[in-house]
Order: sequence, then structure tokens, then C-alpha cells
Amino acid sequence: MKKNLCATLLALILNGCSPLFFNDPPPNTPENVFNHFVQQIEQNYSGKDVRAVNWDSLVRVYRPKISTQTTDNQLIETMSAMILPFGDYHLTYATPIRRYIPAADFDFPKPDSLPNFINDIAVANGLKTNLETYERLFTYAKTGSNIGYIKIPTFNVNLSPDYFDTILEQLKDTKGLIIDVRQNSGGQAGLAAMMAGRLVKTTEIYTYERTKIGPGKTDYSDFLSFTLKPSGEWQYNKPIVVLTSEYTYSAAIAFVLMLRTQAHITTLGTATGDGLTKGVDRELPNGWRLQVPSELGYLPDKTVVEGSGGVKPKIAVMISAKDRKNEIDTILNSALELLK
Amino acid sequence: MKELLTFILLITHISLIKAQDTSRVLTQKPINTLDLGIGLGYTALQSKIISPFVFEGFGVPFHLTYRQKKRLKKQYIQVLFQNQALNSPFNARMDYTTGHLLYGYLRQVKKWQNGSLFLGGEWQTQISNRVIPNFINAQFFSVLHSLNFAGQLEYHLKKHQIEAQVALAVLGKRPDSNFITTISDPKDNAWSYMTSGKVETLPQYFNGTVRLTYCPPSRLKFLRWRFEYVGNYHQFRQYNFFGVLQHQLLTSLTYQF
Repeated sequence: MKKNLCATLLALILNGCSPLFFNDPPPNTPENVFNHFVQQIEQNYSGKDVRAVNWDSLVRVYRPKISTQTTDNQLIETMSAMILPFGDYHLTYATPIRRYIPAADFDFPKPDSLPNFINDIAVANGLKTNLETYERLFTYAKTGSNIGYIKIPTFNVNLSPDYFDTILEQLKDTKGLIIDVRQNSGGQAGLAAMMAGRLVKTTEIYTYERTKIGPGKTDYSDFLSFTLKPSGEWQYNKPIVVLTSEYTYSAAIAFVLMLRTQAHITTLGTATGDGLTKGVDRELPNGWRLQVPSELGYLPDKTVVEGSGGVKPKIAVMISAKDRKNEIDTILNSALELLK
Repeated sequence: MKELLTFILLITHISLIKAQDTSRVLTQKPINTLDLGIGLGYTALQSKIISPFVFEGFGVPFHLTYRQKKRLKKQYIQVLFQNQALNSPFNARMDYTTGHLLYGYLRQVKKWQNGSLFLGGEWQTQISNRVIPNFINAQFFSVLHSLNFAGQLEYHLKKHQIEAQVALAVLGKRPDSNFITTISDPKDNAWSYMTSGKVETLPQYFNGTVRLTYCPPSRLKFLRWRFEYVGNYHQFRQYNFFGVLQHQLLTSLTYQF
């Protein structure tokens, strides 16, 4: 008690001169929260510079609707409505009530609606009967025609690259490999690199990044290159097909970029999402967290990924409404046909 | 002609007196000391790009300082490290780790009976890493180089020694752009941390340090205590305000050799 009192007193004395050195935080009012939200996006959001959204017009429409009487729920609705047009999964916010996930409002297949079914060809190849899960994360199998299949659902921190190594060891003798990242919304790019290193033959620059260095549309740092080289005791050098979808996002896009530089690897499916660089959480005056990306990611030819409609696969295959209804995974079928 | 000869002799005589004096100074054996210290540190940090609030907390600084003193000049090199947990009003915790490498050179410009005034400069390289574990991707590593102007008053009362020093940055440089971001821009090689970035000065960049030191008398010639208060404040103003205020109370054991 005495110790706490002393610490508090000391903090008060030391903090006494704080107003001289720091700006007072704005009072917690809906207007200030809204203004801070707008300022963060205007000055620090890289997506604003490349995505076709008229931000100024959004601010003009929504600012008059905010007043001291605005409730938290109304503020949530307003912020969501302003974020949604960017279509950026990394531009999001969290409140004590919920974390807003723009992807839930996007007009593309939700992760749950992506094919989780095993189709006729896969069954004929023995994929269904051999399907196993590892550490409740990876799903993998060896088909009857000796093709390996690994589904990587995430690159989050719970995933150990050792798991991937163990599975790869079991699929070492297959004649080809399918890597399914269609439901992978990202995680740690470092983890993605550890796994991708086991699959590449040559060292290549797979992406460039630029960071915002000013509030202007063209205020960006120089291009910073990212290189991936082969890693691990051995590399899987036989043909590989990487399955992608619109839900492939963030670090999963980086994973696709790492692999698409290689001659023995083919990407197949639909274009990935177009949010490659990471979002960073910041605090609003009411304690809510706003996640804003301040970087832009580029293909090796220096085409920007953000706002581009995603990384297009080498072979574009879509699942038609009819196939979806009949639970036929056209993308997986095409990959199996390619490796047959 | 005679007057000119007298003048030359007089000048030579004065020069010789000065030279003799200087020679005595130059041959004076330098005093080398090594301080090993620990203390209590308080930090308040505001980085408006990450939060409008001030994060505050306490930590334990450690330092190792080498000092060399001759009659007319002082030099010092200090390595200091501090790790602390800072909190904001909404209980966002920030782990803030800082360290600096400091080199200072001071030269005596005035002397009184019990005191001296030293003026000079400092080179300071500060590194810091801040992580907010509850915030997604909120990690930022920063390097800040500073060229400071420094002035020090040294005062002796019997065997007590007191020093008061002020250092103000003339120039500052961050390897990243001076637009404060939440993301540290990784460099292709370590040398880039020294060469890249933009040099800034007032009013965009400010860095000031106050040091008050007291060294009590010691019975041992080679070992003594050193008590020090260090206050530092630095800031970048443009667009995304960033400011850090630090107070440190340091206790060091000084070994003279």
C-alpha cells in the first residue's frame, strides 16, 4: 500500500511537467473519435493512395452525421460504412463490443463457403480416404495416383514450420504436390517463408515494399526487396500446383509470391485478395483500436498489389455456380488433372 | 629597429612562458575512470500515430561509462540500456526498450577558484524498440543519431564534486524518414542505419538533456560513489507528433585507474 502510494506520488510529481512536453489527448467525444479516425486514414493509410475510393466525399457525407449525441453503435456503423468501400481486410477496427471484419461484408465467397468438399476425381484418386489432419491445422493426403495434397489454413503463430517439414517428409516420394491456400487469410510472413523455402529451387526476389514517408499520395520510401532462398535439408523439386482464391490474403499472398517465381510451381484458381502488406493497430481517443496499413506491396515487376484485384494465377479456374451446387471442386480437379 | 627587436623578444618570452605552461598541462597524467551504474528510470512517451495518449512507466537503467579527464579537457563514452513497461489510460501496455551510445568531448573555457566551465559536443546514437503486445503488428524499431552542443559546470567543495551539464541537439537524424510511422523500414544492410534518412534540426526536431551529478568524498583513492540525475526529452513534431520524456536517478560505483 505504502509502496503503491509512493509510486503514485512519484508519478504525479514526474508527470506534473507533462503538459509542457506532450499534447493533451483529445476528450473522449464521438466527434474527436471520428476526427482521429479520419486523420489516421488521411495521413497514414497507404490504400487511400491506390484504391479507387473517393475518401473526401465519404468524409463530406458522414462528418455531418456525427455529433455529441452519436452513440457507440452509430459510430461503429459510420466507421464501417467508410471503411467498406476500400475492400481492404487490413483496414479494420476493434471495439470492446466486437472486432469489425470488413471481409464479412465483402462481395466474394466467404471462407465457409469455399469448397471444403472432396470431389469425385479426388475420391477416385484416393484423396478422401487418405485425408489426415496434423496438429488440427494441416490437412494432407497422398492420392492413389501418388500426388500429395497439403492444405495450409493459416500462417498464424500457432503453426510450427516443423509440422510442415514432417508432412513434407511423408510426401517426399510423390510425383507432384498440391498446396491449397485458398482459405488461408494470412499470419506471419516469416512463417510462410520458412515453409516456402522447402519448395523452391532458386533464390529469387519475390516482392518489393514501400512505406509511407509523408501524407502525400506519392510520399513513399524507396523499393525494398524481399528475397527467398531454398532452405531445409532438401527441397521438393517436383511439380507443384498452388491453389489460390480471393480469400488468400496477407501473408498467404506473400507465400504465393514466394512460390510463383519458380519454374516448377504453377498457381491455379482465382486471383488472390489484394491486401499484401500488414495493418498496424492504433488507439482512438475512446480506447478503440483502428488497424491501418502504411505500406504498399509489389510484384517482382514492381506492379502494386494493393488495389489491383489481387495476384492472378497462372491458370485461371473458377468454380461455377452449378459445380458449387453439386459440390464439385473444379479447382482441385484441375490441379489433379495437371499433375496426373 | 630596436623597438621591433624588443617587441619580438617580448613576444617570444610570453610564448615561452605559455609554452612552458602548456607543456606542464600536456604532460599531466590523465585520470581515467570507469563507472558501473544502476538506477530508477521514469519514461513518458507520446506517439500520436499509435495513440493520442501518453504512455508512462518505470524501469531500471544500467550503464557503463568510461571517462577521461585532463586538466583542460574531458571525454566520455557511455553505453546505457533500459527496459520498461509503459501504460496508457486504456491499459494498453507498451514494452519500451531503449539504449544509447554516447560520446562527449568537453574543453575547459573558464576556471574559478572552486569551479570550471567546460564547453563541447556530444554524439549520441539512441536505439529504441517499442512493442504493444495487444495491438496487431504494433512493433517499431528506431535509431536516432544526434549531434549535441554541451556545456558543463564543475564545482568542488572540499572533496565533494558537483557537476551540472546541459546538452542540446544541434542536428538529429533518423534512418527512416522523419515522417513518424508505425512500421520500421527494414534496411538492406546495417550500414544503411547510419547513412539513410534526413538530417533535421529545430523546430521539427528537439533533443535536450540535463545531467546533475554529485560525487561524495571517498576514503579510497581508486573507488568512489557517483549519484546522478539525468533528464532527457526529445521530439519530432511534423505530422505525427512523437515525444519521449525520461528521468533517471543513477547510482554508480566509479573505479579510477
